[in-house]
Amino acid sequence: MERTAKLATRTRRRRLGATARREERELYLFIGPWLIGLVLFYAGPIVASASMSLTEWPMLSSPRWVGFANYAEILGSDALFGKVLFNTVYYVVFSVPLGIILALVIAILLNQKVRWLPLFRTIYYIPSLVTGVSVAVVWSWLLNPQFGLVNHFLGLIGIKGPNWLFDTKTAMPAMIIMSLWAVGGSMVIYLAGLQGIPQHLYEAAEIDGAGSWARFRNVTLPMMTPTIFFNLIMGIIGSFQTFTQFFIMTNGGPANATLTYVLYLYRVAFEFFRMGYACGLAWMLFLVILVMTLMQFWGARYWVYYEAPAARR
Amino acid sequence: MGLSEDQYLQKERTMKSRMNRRELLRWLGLGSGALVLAACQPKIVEVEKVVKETVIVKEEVEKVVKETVVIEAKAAPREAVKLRCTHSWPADQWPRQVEFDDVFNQEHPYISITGENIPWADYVPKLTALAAAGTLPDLVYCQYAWAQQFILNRMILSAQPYLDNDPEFWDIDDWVPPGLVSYRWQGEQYLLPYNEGPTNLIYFNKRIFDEAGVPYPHSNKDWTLDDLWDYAKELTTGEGADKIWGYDGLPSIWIINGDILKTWDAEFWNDPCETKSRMHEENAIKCLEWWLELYKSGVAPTPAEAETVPGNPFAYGVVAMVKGASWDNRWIKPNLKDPYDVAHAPVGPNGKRSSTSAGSAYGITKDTKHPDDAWVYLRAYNTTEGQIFLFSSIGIDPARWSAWPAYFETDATPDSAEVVMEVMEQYAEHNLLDSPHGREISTAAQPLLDRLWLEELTPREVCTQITEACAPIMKKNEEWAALAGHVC
Repeated sequence: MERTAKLATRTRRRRLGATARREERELYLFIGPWLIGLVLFYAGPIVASASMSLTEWPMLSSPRWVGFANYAEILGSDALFGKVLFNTVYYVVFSVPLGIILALVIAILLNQKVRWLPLFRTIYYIPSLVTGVSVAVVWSWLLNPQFGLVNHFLGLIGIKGPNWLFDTKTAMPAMIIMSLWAVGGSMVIYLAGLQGIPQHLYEAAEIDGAGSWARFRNVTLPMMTPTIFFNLIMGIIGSFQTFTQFFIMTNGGPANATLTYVLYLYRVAFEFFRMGYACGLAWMLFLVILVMTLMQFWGARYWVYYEAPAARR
Repeated sequence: MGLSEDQYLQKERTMKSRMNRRELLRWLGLGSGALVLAACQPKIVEVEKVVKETVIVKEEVEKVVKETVVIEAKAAPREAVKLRCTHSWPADQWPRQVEFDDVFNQEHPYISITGENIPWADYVPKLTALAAAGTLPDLVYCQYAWAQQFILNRMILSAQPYLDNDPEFWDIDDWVPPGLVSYRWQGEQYLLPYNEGPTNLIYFNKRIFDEAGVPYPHSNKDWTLDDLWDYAKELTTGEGADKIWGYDGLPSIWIINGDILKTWDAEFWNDPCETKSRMHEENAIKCLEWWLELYKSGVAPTPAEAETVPGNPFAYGVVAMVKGASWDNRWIKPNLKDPYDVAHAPVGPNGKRSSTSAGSAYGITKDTKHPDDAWVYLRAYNTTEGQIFLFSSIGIDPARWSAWPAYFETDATPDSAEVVMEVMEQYAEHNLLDSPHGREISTAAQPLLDRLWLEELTPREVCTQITEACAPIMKKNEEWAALAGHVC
């Protein structure tokens, strides 16, 4: 018996060793393409852009080292830097919370037991699948002051619609409204979060006499805070980098009212032929997003509820 | 009850003889990869067919080459060369380009040119990426706004050595003078323009004029800005879907100097230096006040109203007069169903007319390995015959005077096409932002001009703020202007 056990142990050790080595080889073999892609298309360009930001590089000829001059210009003498940052923050501050609220409301509605529920879920999700250019062209027509559907429906209820994309005061609000088109993506995530809320919590609340609003406020919302937090972070990061819709619909106009950060960065790189400066702008954007994300994580301790105590910050 | 040693070893042997799930997946993965690799292998049969076809074609080419050699008294044999050229033509122009390249390839058996048509929005990003990678094509299309950047960054080779050795081709008097300006640097011609045309023409819809009983603009050769105003008001009729506007064509920054300000004895930038703004001066303010009043009178569609018609409002037949460039005829002609024509722009308060002149060019890049052969193509492109074939015969105003007669003979031009040439001969000037910081200047100024039409700023405020915004940018042009030899 002892001999058998020893033999089994020795065999297991030899097998584990060989297996572990084989598995290790297979691991690197299978993640190899992804690792190569990460280095070639992400890590490499990130490092390259950091070094490019220290040069004046028109791309048509070799880069010229200028040190931190680009950053000094961004923070000191770039007349448009403050404007584009303001425009972008304006867009983020309104589009992200509105998107979260709308997606959550729709997810709650789609979490009810009603007929044709899969059909409704599909309908609300499909717009998020449409590509950026198509969305931009469609919304350009929807927001047309004379013949657009938005002003048409406003007119039916006695409201004279504004000039939307052709007025400096309403152009950015129009873009914010347009951004709500794609809430389907985060709606699906909220839906998954809602379905993960334990039913016994609702039953306990009902037993204690909680109405629907009390159940929402004391059960649904707290249990959804991790999901909301995730969508908030991703929404902020994504909104700061919005480009396509602004490029197609307004190209930064009218009068720079919708000139966002990444659109300005593109213009600096490919219209002014200043790729080095554009890289500096990109790194400044990274810092802004990083600071905002860290602030969100710091603030999360006060409002994000994780069930497991170890998961709390 | 445990296993005996023999039973244990037998069990191990059995397990080893069976394939486990991991091994199965591994073999499946390897098998799939092998299948994919096998599928990607070129088919020998097709390669053999291509090789045979290539041999047949090669025999035919050799036959042509032999005949050419007999006629040309035996040219020395040389290695075949492949050239690449990037273009950015609209879809209707591309077949013409392909046709030219086919003819060129037939006439030059040792040079094979391949054209690549890049959509306009992607052209500069792609070109700069190719430049950064050192893989530029042999020849590139270049717009005036990029030319100085291309030249100063040594992306384009100077064509002057070739031109100096080819006086028959480089008869300077045959070239429309404003067309050469953007593409020169310190006395050397780097790129060759293929077209050049005025930007300040008035296209007018004869049907709308006839229905309103208003005389055509070109029936009064000395018509003034006040006439333009009166005509525009009289021609503006209707509401909603029946609305007809009298005039379209608010000034934009890139042509404001030559088309708008000059007839008021004003200017935005001090052409050709581009180092100072004069926009804050009284004449410029008065000019913008006049144009704002015209716009506020309702004779021109607002940007929002212009969006309500498919395509351009003039081409859609809802605008009586539009300010446009000579090349705008290419989209007006096929789209506008009404009879139309073109006229000189009205005379300004200083009693004169003015117009900017603009065009594009091609050049040989630094990455070419065959500059002499690239020159052969560039030369063929810009001979009188080449410009007739590619441009004037299809209604695009060429950069050579000798190619202009063909412009008048084609049906692709307006009835009064001679107006276009008159403008070029009499008063069109270059007057464009050529400097390396030109794009920054126009980008800084245009939003302020937009705010004028939105009535958010007065003309005086707009003019003052344009000067304030552009002055620091224009200052950066001082070194460039000095090196260029401009007298500022």
